[in-house]
Amino acid sequence: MITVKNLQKMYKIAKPGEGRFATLKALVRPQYEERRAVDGIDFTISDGEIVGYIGQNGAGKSTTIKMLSGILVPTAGDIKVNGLIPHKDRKEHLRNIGVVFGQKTSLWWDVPVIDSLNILKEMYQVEDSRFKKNLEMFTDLLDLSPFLNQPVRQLSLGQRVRADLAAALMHDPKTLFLDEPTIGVDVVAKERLREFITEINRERGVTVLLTTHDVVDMEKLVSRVIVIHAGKIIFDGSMQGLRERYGGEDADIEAIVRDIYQEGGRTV
Amino acid sequence: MQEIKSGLKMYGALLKMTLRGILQYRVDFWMSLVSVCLLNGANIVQLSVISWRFHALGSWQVGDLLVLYGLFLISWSIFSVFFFKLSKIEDEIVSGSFDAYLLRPVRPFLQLVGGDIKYTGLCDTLLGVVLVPMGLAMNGTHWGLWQILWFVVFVLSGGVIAVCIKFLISCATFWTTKANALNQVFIQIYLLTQKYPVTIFGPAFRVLVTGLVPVAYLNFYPAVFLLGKSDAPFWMCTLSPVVALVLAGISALVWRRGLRRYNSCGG
Repeated sequence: MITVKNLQKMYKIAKPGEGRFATLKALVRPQYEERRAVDGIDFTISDGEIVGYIGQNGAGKSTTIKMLSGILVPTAGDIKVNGLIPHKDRKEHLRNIGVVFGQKTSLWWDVPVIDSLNILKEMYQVEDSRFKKNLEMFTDLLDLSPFLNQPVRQLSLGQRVRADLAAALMHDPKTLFLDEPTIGVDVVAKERLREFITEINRERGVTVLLTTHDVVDMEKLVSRVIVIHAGKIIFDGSMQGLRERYGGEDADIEAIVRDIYQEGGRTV
Repeated sequence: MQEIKSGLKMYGALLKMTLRGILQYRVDFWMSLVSVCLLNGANIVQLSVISWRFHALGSWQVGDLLVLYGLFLISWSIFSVFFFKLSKIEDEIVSGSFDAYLLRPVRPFLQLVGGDIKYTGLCDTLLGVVLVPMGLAMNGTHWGLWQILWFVVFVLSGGVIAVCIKFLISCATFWTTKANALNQVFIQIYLLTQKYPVTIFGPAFRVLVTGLVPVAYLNFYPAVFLLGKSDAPFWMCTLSPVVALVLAGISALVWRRGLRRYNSCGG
């Protein structure tokens, strides 16, 4: 269960100066720009849902995910994930969640995938039997065996995301945050990732919140979409509802999404 | 107590994995080792040419200079072997790996330290361990148990000081997004103190490397103490462990504030 109330995030970004002694200058008198990345959003996600979090680049998706996972502290508002406040009950919260950023790996670059999984086992203190069972299951579902003993730097993007997904689930988290998990992955690999996420959700009841730009992800994977535009939530409901509101019964989802990205959507 | 124990265990596990990663690049491993030894060789040649031309720098004989350089190398290598990653916070943030540290239920500091081991630094340790007794032999000095004990205290304190200075510079990243310029300034300073007695650069420099960036405590003050030089008062030289403790305290504070700052504004 995730509840978000009036969540806000203002960034104060240090402006890097120009010239030779910019760093020293910045130390003495830092200059900042302010930006409102998330502007008072509310939503509730029940256990076992798969929710798509949609919005243009810079709309506030990643910032929200980072706040939900506890990397960022909100400027205002409340977050509860499985009854815990992410940035306050840090350690306990981290044991309950799994996070995958599609753009960057959280695995160790130079060691074989299996070594990364083993060290995560130590970090999360996963029991031997549990670890073995998970490893078997994920190896099977994600077809990890061909590259389990290869260093992460040698993996293809599709393989890397699969390895990252397995790593994020080794400690049996209740909630999974996926930030653009299908980005740059080929069609076949995408299909497999979708099947896996659906399977994990169905078999283990893992709640999933994922951001994506992929229209097929929206149509096939998620049961509900939340649309964020310029830091505000402009839609929260089913794909069917999204269609009805923005394009009509047989409207093209791609076109609807493009409209929303460009101008916050045209309601019918 | 329990936390220290599990922390050490975690550190061991991380280190084991890191080492295995390093050994994947075998050619690079040997190349780096050879190049560091060559660099050290060049440093010694430079040192001996200067000493040979001038016979001594002020009251510092060639043997004294070897001890000075050796002390620096040993202390510095404690940083470069075990804590090198602490000076790379900028890279970690830019590459996005820093977020990953915050997503695992283990202290980010531990993950950072366990993430790298610079075996090439062992070349420095080795050279330092050879240079110090060599310098003493050239001077015809012998150390008793008392001096050896002080030597150990100095080297360990120096190690802590080196780690803290590099760490603090690196932590500037949290506020300035870049720490490189600051690091460059520091490199220029320690390139002077590593080989030459601080006294030859005048009082202003001495204040700088004692009070502001206390690199003089890596080798100058310990050497003055151990070699019985008159460049600095005795009591000032014994402050080494105190300086180390104070710096460690400041580092812990700055790190905590830096993390909090990262939490509030991200990469």
